Amino acid sequence: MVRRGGKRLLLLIGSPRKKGTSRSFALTFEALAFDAGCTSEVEYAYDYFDGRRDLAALRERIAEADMIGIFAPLYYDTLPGVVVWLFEQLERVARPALLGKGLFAVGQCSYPFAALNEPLLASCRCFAAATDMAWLGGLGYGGGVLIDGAPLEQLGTKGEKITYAFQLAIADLLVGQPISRRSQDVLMVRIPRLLYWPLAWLMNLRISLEARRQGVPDLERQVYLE
Amino acid sequence: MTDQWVILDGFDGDRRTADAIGGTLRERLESMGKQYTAFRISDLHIAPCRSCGACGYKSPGKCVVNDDLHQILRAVAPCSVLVFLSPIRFGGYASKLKMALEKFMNLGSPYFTVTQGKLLHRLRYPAKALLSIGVTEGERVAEAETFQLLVRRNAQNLQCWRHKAVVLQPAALEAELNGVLEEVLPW
Repeated sequence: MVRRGGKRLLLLIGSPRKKGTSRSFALTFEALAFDAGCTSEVEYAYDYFDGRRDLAALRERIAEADMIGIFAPLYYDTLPGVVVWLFEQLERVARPALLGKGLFAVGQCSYPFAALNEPLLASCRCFAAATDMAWLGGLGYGGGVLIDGAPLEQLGTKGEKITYAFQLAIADLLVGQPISRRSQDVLMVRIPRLLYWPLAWLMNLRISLEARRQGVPDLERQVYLE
Repeated sequence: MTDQWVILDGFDGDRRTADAIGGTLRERLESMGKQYTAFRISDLHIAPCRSCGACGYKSPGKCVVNDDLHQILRAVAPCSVLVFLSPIRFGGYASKLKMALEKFMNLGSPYFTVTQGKLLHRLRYPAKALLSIGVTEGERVAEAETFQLLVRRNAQNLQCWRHKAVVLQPAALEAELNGVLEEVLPW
């Protein structure tokens, strides 16, 4: 959706799921940016990888934007391969359009530890450096799997907390400042290590019950040794 | 677990650096009588993860997409040492190698455990050692640091019994690589 306003944001979603948590985050970010007087547009990295969208058109959108935001799930400890692919393409074909633009990122992982997103955010910072963009920082969220794409306004206190962190981030971005530590602190959930074992037990119980419900006899089958 | 090395070569385009590293590594492994399987990722059809969730309950531990990743995982599952070779792209692996590695989540079980103070997925196959070699042009400190961080996280999730991340520059390849191999070949 294109909205009229001041700064122009291009929000790039790096998830293959079009109804997933990264999209849910991006849509909230878009709405908050609108309230702050911005224009924003949402694009999906997988659409370009799959050839449904044209890279030349993305280059045009980048040229029109003031700032680019990456919203991506953590895949195998960093950005999804498709987002790396898109970065490789953009570095090759869109350097003049990227030059001097602001870049920020929001990563989310299924484990409840926001710090796991560090390599993802650091990779976005490296992309900014490689293309002479201005790195504006990022946010990591742990526990995205529990959100499962739900709109943040339906998540009660949890949704309000994430929304508040995004509001703080937007306030920083709109004055040209990198996202402050305060926004990340709002997103942090500290789970005492003492609770790891009970947490593992509880999650394993849920997994076993689901396996039984679906009639799966052995979830730990060693398929590649058979 | 077999004393078998698996080498995943993620280089694309110019093969000179990849061939120099891969050639030296294979030569040294052969001279020590070690067995290895090498895959050149750019020659394979690897589809990216679509987060469909089928490898959870529908097809436990196996991606339902029929691509070349299955032959890689068949070699990786019983191996003792994994080697990733890649140009460093934005502090990580080249995109096609990264797409392959995403499906390594099938090396883990859906069940959780606590190991060395970390909440992790249980392993489906024997633990391995990991050697990741990244190549970068010039002095890119942030890229090198990001690569090292990524390999540490990979090793943590794979619950590797040993791991090493190496950042090489083409100009100083031979001397540095030989030093690294002296350290890791006894693994």
